[in-house]
Amino acid sequence: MGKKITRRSFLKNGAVLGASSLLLYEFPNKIYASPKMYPEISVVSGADYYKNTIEAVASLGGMKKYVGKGSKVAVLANPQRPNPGAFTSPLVVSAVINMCLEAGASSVTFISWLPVKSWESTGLKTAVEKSGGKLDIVDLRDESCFKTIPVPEGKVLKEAKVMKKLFDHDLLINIPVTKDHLGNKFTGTMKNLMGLNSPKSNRTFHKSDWKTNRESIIHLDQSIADLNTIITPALSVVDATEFIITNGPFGPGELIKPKKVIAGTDRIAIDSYCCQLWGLKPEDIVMIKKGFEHGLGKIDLSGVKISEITL
Amino acid sequence: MYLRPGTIFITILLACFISGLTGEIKKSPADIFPENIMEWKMKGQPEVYKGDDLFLYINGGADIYQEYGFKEVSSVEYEKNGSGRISVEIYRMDDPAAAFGMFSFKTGGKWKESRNGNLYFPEDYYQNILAGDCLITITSIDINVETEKSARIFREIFEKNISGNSPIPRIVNLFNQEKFEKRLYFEGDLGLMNTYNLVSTESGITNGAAGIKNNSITLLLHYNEGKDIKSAFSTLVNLLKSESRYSKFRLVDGGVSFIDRKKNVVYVTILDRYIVIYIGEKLDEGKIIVKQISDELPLIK
Repeated sequence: MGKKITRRSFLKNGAVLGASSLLLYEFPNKIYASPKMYPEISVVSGADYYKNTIEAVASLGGMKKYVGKGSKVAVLANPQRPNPGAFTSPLVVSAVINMCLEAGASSVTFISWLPVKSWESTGLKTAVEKSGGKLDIVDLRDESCFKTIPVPEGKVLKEAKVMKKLFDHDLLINIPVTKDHLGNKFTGTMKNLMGLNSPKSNRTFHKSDWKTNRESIIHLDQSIADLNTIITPALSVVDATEFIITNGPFGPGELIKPKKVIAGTDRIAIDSYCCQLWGLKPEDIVMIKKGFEHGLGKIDLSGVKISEITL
Repeated sequence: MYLRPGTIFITILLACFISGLTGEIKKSPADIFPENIMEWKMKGQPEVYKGDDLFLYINGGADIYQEYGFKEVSSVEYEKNGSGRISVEIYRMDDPAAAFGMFSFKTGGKWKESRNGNLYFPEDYYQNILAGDCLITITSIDINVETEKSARIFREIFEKNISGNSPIPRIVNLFNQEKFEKRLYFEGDLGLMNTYNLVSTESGITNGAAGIKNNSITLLLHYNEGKDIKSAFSTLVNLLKSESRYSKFRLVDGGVSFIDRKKNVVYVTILDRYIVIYIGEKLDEGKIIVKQISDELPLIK
C-alpha cells in the first residue's frame, strides 16, 4: 500500500507545485492503487444492487484503498430524470456512502448543479441523507460558483469552469449510470464529468445553432475527453443495473437490466466495457477513442484485468 | 349494469373535464393539465421551458428537439396516494412535421392510430402520442401494472385535450405503410445519424425519411431545390468511396453499389428529387424497394 497523503499535505504539495495547475486537480488517492494485486475492473452482477456495489469495490481491494481516514469525499452521481434507467440507482449511491464512511471519511458530499427537484424525484436525496451523506447543490445559473481551470492538454477545450466546491474535497468518486445518448451514442464515466462543469461552459461543447453534424459530435466528444484530462476521479463506480438504450440520456426509452455494477479507476476501460453491454464497440464511440488518445486508459479490453462475479 | 357512486362521480368529472377542454389546441400546454385525473393528483405545478432553455430541462439531450424545431415543453408529475407516479410531458414543436419527426424518433418509427385519429405508440412503461404540433410523452415512473393501466387512461385524456391534425409528411408516405415495419422522418444530422450514420446534411439534404423492414433500411434523402440532384449524387458517391467502411464499388442499373463492413449491400440511386440508399442483404431487394417508392411518387404529388 502506498504512503497516505492527508488533505493538508495534498494542499501543501499543490502549493509547492505552484503554477502546475494540472497537478492541483489530480487527487492524491491514485497512489493507493495496486493494479498487480487486484483487478483493474470489477464487475458484479446480481439482483441486489446494494450488494453488487459493495462487492465490486471490495474486489478492487476495498474502499480504504481510495478513501483515507478523515477524508472529505466529493461524489458525482447522475440524478438526471426519474424516468426508469435514466439516473444512478439510490442503492448504488447508498452503498458508496456507507463504504466511504466505514473507511473513515469525515464527510461524503454529493455536489451538483442539477436542481434539488431532480434529487428528490429520483429518490436520490433521501438515499443520500438516510445513508449519512450530504447534498450540496449550486445554482446552475450562477457562474461565480464555478472556477476557471485551464485545460493544458485540451485539443478543443482550452478552459473549463469547474464547480468550486470540488476543491473543498480530498477526492472524487464518480458514480454515473451508463446509458444511451443520442449524440454520443453512449454515456458513462467520462461524460458524467460534465456534471462538474458549468452548464454555460457545457453549452460550448455543442454547436451554437443546435445543428449537430458529424463535426460537432466530434467536437462534443473531444471536449468531454479534454475535460477528463483535468479531473481524475479516485474511483468510478458505474450503475449498469437498469438503463435505457434508446432515447437517452433523458428517456423514457427501451430499458435493459444487466444488473451489473462496474468499479475501477481506468475510465476508458470501464466505458469500453459498459458500451459493449448493449452491443456498441468502444472504437465506434468517439469520446472513448479521444480519451484513449489522451492516454486516460485502455480501450482494448483484452489487456485489462477484469474480475466478473455473479452473486 | 350497476355503477358505484364513486365511479359515476369520476365519470362525470372526466366527462366535464374532457368536454371542457375540447378544441383547446390554441392554449398553452401549461393550461391543459387537470389538477386531478381519477385518483391521481398533480404534484406541484407544471414546469415550462421555452426555446434554448430546453437544455436546462433535458440536460444533455435537447439537441434533437431543437433540430426538428422546438417551441416549449410543459411537464408535470401525477401522484396517487404516494404509491405511484406518472409523468406527463407535452412538447410543442414548430409545426406538425417537426412533431411527427420527433415522435417517429422517440418511437423508433412505429405507431398506431388511436380512436381519435391521432398517432401513438405504447411501450411497456411509457407511450408517445402525436397530436397536432405536440408530442406527448406519458411515463409510468414506478413500473407496475396499475400505474401502466392508469397511464393508458391518461393517454386518452391528453390526446383529446390536445387534439389536432398530424399529417404524416409526404416523404414518409413514399414508404408504403404495409410494406415497412418502421418509418422515420428526419430534418437534420442527429435524426439522420441516429437512423443510419451516413453523411452530414450540410451536403444539401433538407430532410429525409427512412423505411425499415426485415434486415434492411432504406433512406430517402431530399435535397433543396437549388441543388442539382445529379451533382449531389456524385458528391455522395465520392464521399462513400472515400470511407473505409465501404468497399467493392460498382456501377449497377441506374446507380452504384458498395459492400459495407457487415457485408450488407449499399445501393444508391436517384429517384426524382430524391437520392435513395438501400442498406440490406440483397441488391435485388433494394431494386424492388426503389421500384415500390417510384410507384408511390405520383400518389403523393
